[in-house]
This record gives sequence, C-alpha cells and structure tokens, in this order.
Amino acid sequence: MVKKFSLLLFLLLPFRSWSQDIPENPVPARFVNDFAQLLSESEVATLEKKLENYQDTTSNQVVIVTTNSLNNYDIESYSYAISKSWGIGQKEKNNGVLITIAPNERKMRIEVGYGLEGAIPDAVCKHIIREKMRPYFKKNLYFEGLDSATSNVIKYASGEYKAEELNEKQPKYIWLVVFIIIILLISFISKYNRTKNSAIGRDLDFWTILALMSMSNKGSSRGGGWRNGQDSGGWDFGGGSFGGGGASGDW
Amino acid sequence: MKKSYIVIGVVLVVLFAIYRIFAGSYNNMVNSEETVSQSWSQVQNVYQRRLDLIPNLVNTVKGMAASEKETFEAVINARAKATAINIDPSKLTPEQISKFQAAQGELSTALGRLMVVSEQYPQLRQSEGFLNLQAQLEGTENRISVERKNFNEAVQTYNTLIRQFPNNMLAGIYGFEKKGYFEAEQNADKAPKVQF
Repeated sequence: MVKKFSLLLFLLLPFRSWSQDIPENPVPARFVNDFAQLLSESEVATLEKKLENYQDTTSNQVVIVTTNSLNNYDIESYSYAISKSWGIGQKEKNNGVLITIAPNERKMRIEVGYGLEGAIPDAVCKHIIREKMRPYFKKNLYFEGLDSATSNVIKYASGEYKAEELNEKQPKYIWLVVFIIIILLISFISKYNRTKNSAIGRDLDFWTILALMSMSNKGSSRGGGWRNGQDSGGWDFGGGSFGGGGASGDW
Repeated sequence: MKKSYIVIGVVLVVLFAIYRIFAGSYNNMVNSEETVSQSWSQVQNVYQRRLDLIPNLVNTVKGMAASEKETFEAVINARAKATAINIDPSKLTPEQISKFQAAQGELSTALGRLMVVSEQYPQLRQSEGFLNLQAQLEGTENRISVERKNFNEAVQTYNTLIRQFPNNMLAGIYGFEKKGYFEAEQNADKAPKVQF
C-alpha cells in the first residue's frame, strides 16, 4: 500500500510546476538579480555594466541570482530550474552561465550551459567556487566574491564565442535603405503620373503614396524601437539550454 | 442526379476526416516517441560519461589508498555490470528501464562507498587531481539527474498521448507501447554524505 502510494507520488512529481518556487524572469531582462539584497545599488550597477559589456563582445550571458530561500530545494535543482525557465544564453549557442547564491542556506552554484561546458568544465567551476568565491563570502564580502567569480568565468569562457550574430541582428541600415527606395519610388510614380496627367493617374498616385507612407512609417518606428532598446541596454534571454553542468559549494 | 453528387461529396469529406484523424494521431505518436528516444540517448550519454570517469578515479585513489582493495573491486565489478546493459531505444519497456536503473544504482552505491573511503585519506583529499575528479563526478551525477528528469517528462507526455481516446485504440494497431520511467530511489543514486 505504502509502495503504491509512493509510486503514485512519484508519478505526480513531474506535474509539479516550478513557477511558484523560483523567481520569474525579470522584465526587462537583467544580469544581476539581487533578490536577497546582498549588494548596494552601485555594486549592482557595476556588475550589470560589466556583464552587459561582456555580452556585447561575446554574446555569452552570465547571470547572477541571489535568493533569500531555496524553498527546500537543493541548490542544483533550484538553479537548474531558473536556468531552464529563463532560458539564459543564446538559443543556438547555449552559452549561458548562471551564478546562484543562497546566503541563508550558505550555498552557491555555478550552472553552465551546454555550449560552455567545454570552456568551463565542472572542475574549473569547483575551483572558482572554492578559491575565488568562498574566501570572500566567508567575510560577507559578497560584491568582491561575485566580482571575482564573474571575472574568472569571463576569463575561461572567452574565446569560445564571438558576438557576430548579435551584430547581424542590427537592422538600422536596412531600414535606411528601404526608406530611400520608397522615396525614390514615390517620386518616380508621381513623375510618371504627372506626364500622363489623367484623373485616374492622380488617384492612384494619392493612394500609392499613402500606402507607401504608412509602410515607411512602420519601418522607421520599428527601427526607432530597436535603437531605443539599445540605448537603455535592452536585451533578452536568448533561450539557451542547460544540461546540469557546473559545480556547487558552500561557505 | 444532383443528390448522388451530394452523397459522394459527403462520403469523401467523411473519409478525408477519418484519414486526418488516423494520420494526425499517428504522426503525433511518432513525434512523441522520437522525443523519448532523443531523451534516452541523452540519458545514456551522461551515464556513459560516468563510466568513462571511473577508471581515472579508481587509479587516482589507488595511488594513495592502496589498502582499500575491496572497495575498488566493488566499483570495477559494478561498472562492468552496468556497461553490459545496453537498451535499444525502441525497447524502452518498464522492465528494461528498471533493469538498467538497478545496474546503474549498484554502481552508484559502490562509487559512493569509494568516495567515503577516499575522504579518510587527508593526502588524497587535498590532491588537485582527486579534487578535479570529485568535481567531475559530482557534475556528472547532477547531469544524470537532469537528463533522467527530462526523460521522465518525455515518457510521461508519450504515455499520456497513447492512452488518450481515440489514440489508445490506434496505438495498439500501430504498435506503440507504454514506456518505462525512472523511479525515485531510496538513496541508491545519491552518494552517501559523511560528516566529520
């Protein structure tokens, strides 16, 4: 009876949703998610800037989460659940790294995406935790610990990926070209119609211009949206996958 | 004359609808089964990773703790047994899965004992090589639990699909069978932790 019951429980296990137990992904996306408030505002800003610059050059996403409670999960499950539901790293490269800190449980973990497992093997993660984080955390120097952790992760992960694909996504010039073509088209059509000088021609002219104008508006507004996004550091989690690589430790 | 056209039309529509039901559910089952096979190969990968790690680990420990012969032998035997069990992804029956799980569980237990024994040798505990292997083993165990969970989720989706109406009737005809899960273990898969 007990055995049957436990089997039933186990079958129900996969149904359990993580959503209530882990923090939701931040909108807009942030690299430093200090839910446990271990860092000052300026420290958060410093780390954020550092990780953003790193993403801009390599497209690797290194994300920090601090949490007040693991909600009775072990740090491995907790950190994997966040990495999976947020989708840290680019989709094709799976180049995300998640650093999870749970100060109340005194546990930490570096979770490494599939694509970076070669560059940052488990033993290296363990080394970073043991030598580069734990000594600071023991003295409650959270910023120093995280700064050193991110520097080391960056050191090992560099060279694995470049940001070329991120740059390719910038459609700024495409919209400029489209806009010029539209202007040329409009002027061409209106010239053509003027030579014909017929009522139908003028009608067509009017509607064509209207349609083209609305199209070009759409284009420029989308382009503007992108530029605004870039100015405020807008980016998104890319949907990278994780396979449980990395290491954990305590202090 | 016109009536017969309508009848033919209706019959054609009904036939097409039936065809769509059959073809659609068949394709769904194929896709779902494919996901299960993929997750299974991931499971095998991570278990293989552990098998590959063991010779190195045993050799490293042997160097500094030669007197623990029994423990080494237990690990090596369990590894041989676990290596012998290979499951064809098309035959992931509950029996096969539990056989696989039992063999790997035995290996986990033997490995756990090895790690406990190793902890008793301070020289070993501080050596760089051992620490690296320990980190790799931990990472591999974690990957195993991740891939097992993913596999269980894929199997759950598949099993649910083939048991739903009307798929349950079609699944029998097509030959789709229920697949096995990894079951939760009573500490067999967790390396025992020792507090000093």
